[in-house]
Amino acid sequence: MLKDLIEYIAKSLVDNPDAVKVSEIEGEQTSVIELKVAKEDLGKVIGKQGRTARAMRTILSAASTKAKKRAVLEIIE
Amino acid sequence: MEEFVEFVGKDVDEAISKACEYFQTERDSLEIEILSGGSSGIFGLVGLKKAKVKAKKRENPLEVENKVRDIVQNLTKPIAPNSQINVDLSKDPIYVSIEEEEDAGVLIGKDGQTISAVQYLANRIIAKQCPGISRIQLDAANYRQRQNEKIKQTALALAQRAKRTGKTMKTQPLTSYHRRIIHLTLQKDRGIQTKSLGEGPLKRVLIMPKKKTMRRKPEQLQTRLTQ
Repeated sequence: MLKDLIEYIAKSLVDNPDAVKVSEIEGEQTSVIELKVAKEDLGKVIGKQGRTARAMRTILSAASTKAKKRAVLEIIE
Repeated sequence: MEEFVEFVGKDVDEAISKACEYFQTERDSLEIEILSGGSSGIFGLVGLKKAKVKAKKRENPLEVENKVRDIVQNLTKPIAPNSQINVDLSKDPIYVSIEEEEDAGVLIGKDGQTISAVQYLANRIIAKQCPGISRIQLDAANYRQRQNEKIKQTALALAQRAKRTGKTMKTQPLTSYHRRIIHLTLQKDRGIQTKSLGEGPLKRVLIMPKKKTMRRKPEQLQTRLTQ
């Protein structure tokens, strides 16, 4: 579900939604959500001064509180 | 979401009627931008230029409302699955309020961080997917309204203290939205001057008592009295 949230946000923001790949690596307590986008879309998911990336992390941590999990977002180049 | 389509004609009217024909609709329900007015040239020979306009169908309000609600719902569903989302298109920015009791705390977040993040992302998605519609302002469980009221009270209290002590007062670092509320609240107060201080997105507001300006010199006052 957390993965779906990030996937929805990323796909809605980029020019190449087909190039968006999200994978979730579940750990014992923390899962890592990896987001991969096309090179030219990197700026769109990071945003000015990282604002978009920060907003995604904020909303992700709220969603993971609700799911009683911990999740971190990694944006992969 | 419809895109703009360009039309040419020998004058603007002709280009527009071509647009109406193309979209099978009245002129009123089209958004039209004139790209070049066209000119008939000299004797219709030299400098002949065709008129060019671009047009698209205006958004249907119901569609906009559903689109906005969908975006906000997609973003908040994992946090607050059972909330009711209301969209008020009559306001600019569009006012979206989330009615939520159980998960309101998580949805708002510390200092409203989460609700601000959702609002920011929703606006980015709207700008990307439906360019042309206005921004949204997002509220949950009336948090922003209460917050605005609190900021106003703080502004008034600081202004009073500034006037009483004659010293400049400073607020907490605030976002542009909250600073605006302070500036607007105190704008009518003639004894007070406000100014933002700092760098980056968070700045403080300085609330300064205004020096008594234009104090007349005694002799000027005298001449006025004798006149």
